Amino acid sequence: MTTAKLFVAWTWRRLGKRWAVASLALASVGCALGVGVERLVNPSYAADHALLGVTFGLSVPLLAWLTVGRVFPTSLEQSLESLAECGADRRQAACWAAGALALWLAGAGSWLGLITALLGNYRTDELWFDLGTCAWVGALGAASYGLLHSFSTLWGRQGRVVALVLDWVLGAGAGFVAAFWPRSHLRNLLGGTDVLALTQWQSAIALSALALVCLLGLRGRLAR
Amino acid sequence: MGETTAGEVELRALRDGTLQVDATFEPGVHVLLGNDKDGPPALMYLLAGLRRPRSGQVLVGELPPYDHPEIRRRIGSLLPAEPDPLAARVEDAMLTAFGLRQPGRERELLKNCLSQFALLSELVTRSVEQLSRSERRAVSLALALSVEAPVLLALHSPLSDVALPQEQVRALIRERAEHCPVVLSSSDVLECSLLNATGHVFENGRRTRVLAPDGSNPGGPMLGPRAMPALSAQTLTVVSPQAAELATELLSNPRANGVRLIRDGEAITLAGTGVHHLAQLVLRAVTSKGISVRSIDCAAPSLLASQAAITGHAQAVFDAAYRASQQAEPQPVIPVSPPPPPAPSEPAPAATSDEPRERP
Repeated sequence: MTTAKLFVAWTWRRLGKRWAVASLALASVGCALGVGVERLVNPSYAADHALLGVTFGLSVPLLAWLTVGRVFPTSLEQSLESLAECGADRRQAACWAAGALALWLAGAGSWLGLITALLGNYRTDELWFDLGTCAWVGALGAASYGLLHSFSTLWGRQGRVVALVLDWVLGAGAGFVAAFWPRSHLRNLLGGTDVLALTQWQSAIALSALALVCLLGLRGRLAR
Repeated sequence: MGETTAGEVELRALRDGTLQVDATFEPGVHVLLGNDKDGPPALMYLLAGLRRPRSGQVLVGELPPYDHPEIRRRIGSLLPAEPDPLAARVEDAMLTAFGLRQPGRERELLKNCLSQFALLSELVTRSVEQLSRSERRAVSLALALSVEAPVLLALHSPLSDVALPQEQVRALIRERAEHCPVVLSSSDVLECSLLNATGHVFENGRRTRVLAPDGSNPGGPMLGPRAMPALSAQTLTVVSPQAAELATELLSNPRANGVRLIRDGEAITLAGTGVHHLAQLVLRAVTSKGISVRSIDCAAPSLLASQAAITGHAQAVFDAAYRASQQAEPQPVIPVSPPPPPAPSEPAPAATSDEPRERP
């Protein structure tokens, strides 16, 4: 078994199959309910409002936050202690674990985007296009949230809480400060207000860069 | 960093919390004596490379283990707190641990480990959550002792609350100590003599004294008042002409689990977690079997030890006297008639009344 496989297996074990499925199911129910409410209020824009609101505004960030907290309950260094005790390189372990989490969250985000679009855009001509867009935007957004929260776990549980709050508060804007938080770019990608007048593709690149910076920052700040 | 040689562990101007240590551990067994708050458990994390000291350095073979995973791979550790299990099943957790140290050789290493520790064969098929604390510690200790070509073994109380035969653990520790430093923390000074180890007495985070393996004390500052109980308050020496009988009786008592017993002629030295407990065990044995005791001594001049020794001694003397009176020639039993009723006289005063009595 290679070391990378060991790290990924360790991450998956920490996450727990039951917990992962249950949290995704709960998030799915939340998204479905959100779409239902939006359809009652304004059926024409139900999908748009639900995607910007309950799905990518609430469910995806919270799911990422809880998932990262499940795998790294304390600080990143302490969470990796049992691996480090056996001689694992903390940087490698953290990168593989965060990567595995980002991958799982990408799938989960994609799924949540899909079901929201499916339930909200019922019987419309643009369904397939919307499904495709929601899938990749959901994957990118959830993965970047996963990496952001993994990075903030360097400062322990408090760090993760601060990142969640700052994303909610600062990411809601459209100025320079908002450009550093996934929420603003996700909103742009979903057809909402842009940030720093970036196009959607530029926002996608910015979101990817943000995720990459988090991964590199995490690697750089941890001891071997 | 050029002064430390390979195979040595150096704590250079180490400052972390209350710890303030400058020490070098050469290959051999080193027992860190002291209570938990005196620093040995915290030192275990630093030696294992899991914490970075606030200042100073921990060098294992010239390199700080905290920043060098290749050094950590060769450090076997048994930590004070149970680490998170690496997998749900014991076998998977052990395979993961071996796989991290020696990728690709985990099966072979697991097989070797299981052949060495027979008890583990029963545990590997179980879930980690099903294991008791001593079984978990046994698995951790077996993993630590199975590290190939170790540069350091940092073991927290490896001889207590571990479901492995103590003699086997001691033998393995002695064997490993020929090649690398084995640093273990203990509150039992007897471990030093049993392992032929150098004792390092810790008090308030500082090493206050070094005890040589031969029992001599090569200089160093005097012991402080708090380190003394850690050294000797947990031993009790009983001198009895029936020492063999007393030892058998003590060993048959299930409450004596974890108590170490060394017999030397008429003297029996008991070592355990509390001197009161030891005194109670001796008293129970003495009173149940009618064993005579010449003396009970406790080396530590602490209040607790003195109380226990005095109580124990007094009880033993009392019991001996009682037994002697019982073994004496039985006296004929004389029926005792009830005392005659008191002659009628003045009524007794009311005991609870403060009012003046009325005379008839």
